[in-house]
Amino acid sequence: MAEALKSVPGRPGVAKPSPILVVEGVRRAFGGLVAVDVEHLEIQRSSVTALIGPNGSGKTTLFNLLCGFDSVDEGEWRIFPGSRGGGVQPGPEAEESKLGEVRLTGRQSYEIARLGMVRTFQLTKSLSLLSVLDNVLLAAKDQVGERLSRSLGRRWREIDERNRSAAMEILERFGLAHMSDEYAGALSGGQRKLLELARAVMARPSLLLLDEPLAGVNPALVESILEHLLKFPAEGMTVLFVEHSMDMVMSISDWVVCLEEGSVIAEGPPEVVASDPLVVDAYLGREE
Amino acid sequence: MDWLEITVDSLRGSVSLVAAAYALSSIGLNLQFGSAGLLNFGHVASMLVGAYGMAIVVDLGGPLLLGVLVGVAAAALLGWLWGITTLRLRADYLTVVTLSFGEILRFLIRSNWANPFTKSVYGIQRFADEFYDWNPIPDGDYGFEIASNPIRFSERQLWVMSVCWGLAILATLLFRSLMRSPWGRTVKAVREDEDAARSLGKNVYLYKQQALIIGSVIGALGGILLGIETQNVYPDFYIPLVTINAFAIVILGGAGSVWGPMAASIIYWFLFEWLDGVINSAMTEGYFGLLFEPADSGRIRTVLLGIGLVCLMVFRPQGLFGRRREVILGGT
Ligand SMILES: Nc1ncnc2c1ncn2[C@@H]1O[C@H](COP(=O)(O)OP(=O)(O)OP(=O)(O)O)[C@@H](O)[C@H]1O
Ligand SMILES: [Mg+2]
Repeated sequence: MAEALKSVPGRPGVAKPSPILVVEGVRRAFGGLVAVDVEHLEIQRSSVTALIGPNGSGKTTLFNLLCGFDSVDEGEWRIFPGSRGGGVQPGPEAEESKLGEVRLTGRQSYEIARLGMVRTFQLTKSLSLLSVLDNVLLAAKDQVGERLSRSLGRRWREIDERNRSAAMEILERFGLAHMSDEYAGALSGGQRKLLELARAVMARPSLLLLDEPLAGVNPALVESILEHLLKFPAEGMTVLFVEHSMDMVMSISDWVVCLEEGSVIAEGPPEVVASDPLVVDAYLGREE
Repeated sequence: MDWLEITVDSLRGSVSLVAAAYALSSIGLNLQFGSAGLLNFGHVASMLVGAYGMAIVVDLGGPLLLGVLVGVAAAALLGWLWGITTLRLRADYLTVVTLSFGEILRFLIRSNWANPFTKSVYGIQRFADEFYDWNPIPDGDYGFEIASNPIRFSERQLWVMSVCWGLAILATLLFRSLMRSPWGRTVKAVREDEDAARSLGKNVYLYKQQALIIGSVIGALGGILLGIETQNVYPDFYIPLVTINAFAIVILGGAGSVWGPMAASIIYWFLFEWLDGVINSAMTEGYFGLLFEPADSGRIRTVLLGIGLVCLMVFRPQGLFGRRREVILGGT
């Protein structure tokens, strides 16, 4: 699918052949400060897209808005979690997705997650007093035992049993399998980042929003995580990630979007964006 | 001072109905506070609406069982009201609202215009005769003696105690099953980090609401049995101190632990009675001289229990049955 981007010209707000997310006129101001003002943005399905921009350019705020953790002043956005493209399997909650398009504007954060858009946090949120394994099991979408009315039944045990092997497999991938019975609170900062990532993957989202997922993770491990990350699109997960390291952005992304002062100032293939004078300016600071 | 007599008396107190009712009631608070992290400072209100719901129905001529159902339904409604008024706000609002709800309720049932139903300050009496009619235990005195100090209960006391301890065990088992299930896992996740739970598709509001309602209903059962035992409900029993006692029990047992509330209630009421006994005999034997009057004994006891609780927090913050590691990792 990333191939499809080859023919897309690199300019802000450009349409994509098969978008999974379409953002229109999303704006959020804090008092007088306009933190996000995105006119139009499309994220290509089954791609790995990087969201870059200087500190305070609105990347995290945009994630918060899109995922329902903050409310927009204006604008709307839609997700297309359906099965067009890279073999996406929408979770059971994403009933509406069969209709193709789901409007996310004004929805609660948990609904948005169930509809297939799952995010991680820049400041890691670990569930300290749950075991590492429970952290991951929590993300499973098909656990009926989470409903109070079914919590005393027997059915959930089978489901948990099945999910356990999937969860262990994911933990294995992220190098956390040996810690599975440990409290999440006992993990190091980098391990927590990985656990959050593992949790998000367990939720089998169709769109994964990662806010600096590998900040503080040791370089040797970063390599192997990036390899996994590159496989996500083939597994049906489109990735949008925030990252400050240009090396990493250049090496794994199919497409790069650059924010400055809340607006998209450039987007395109990594090499093109990296040499875009506006982007260089934004990063180095303008000289008047 | 007869240490043995005081100790045996306290042992009797530690399995009495009061201990049983607090054990039951604290299990509800443990679910709200220990598992879901909801700082409910108006837990006494659950006990109040439970007991009054029952007493009012019987007083109006209804059967006791209907009264119990009404009391339980009122407690569920109370839990739901706490939820809709505070859960969308910051966590501290819950504490303030529950505390004031409790006091408002107490003043409402005390007020003159509620008199036709609640008999205001006089309260309602003799509403649980039916319960004692169901007593299968033959008349008599049951118990044993320790060096000629009796621990004895009448068939009446034994009946209400058995029902209450039985309910406490059932509530504990329910608590355990719930907390071991994926529902419990989600409730804990909500306690640990709401946003993380939301980001994984959990309806945080719903889980908190459910914890509040279940906790309130279990709390009400404790209130109902206390009412049945005394055959008397009156507004000034339901003061915030009752909530504080329940919190002391939950914390002593270890917040979130399964058997904590039951064990801690036994220990708490043992200490309570024991201190009471020791202070009272010290008073009558003149150990305190002119320093304190007999009327102060309750206060001295409260102060000592408070100091004990502080020591517990310092030396064993996880309580008796909690896990120390959880306390250490809790803040991270
Ligand atoms: N809750 C808030 N209240 C007020 N201002 C805020 C709030 N959240 C963000 N801002 C402001 O909005 C702007 C964008 O912040 P944001 O966190 O989105 O930046 P970012 O691109 O994620 O930066 P970084 O790379 O440092 O993570 C900043 O100027 C910040 O001060
Ligand atoms: Mg940020």
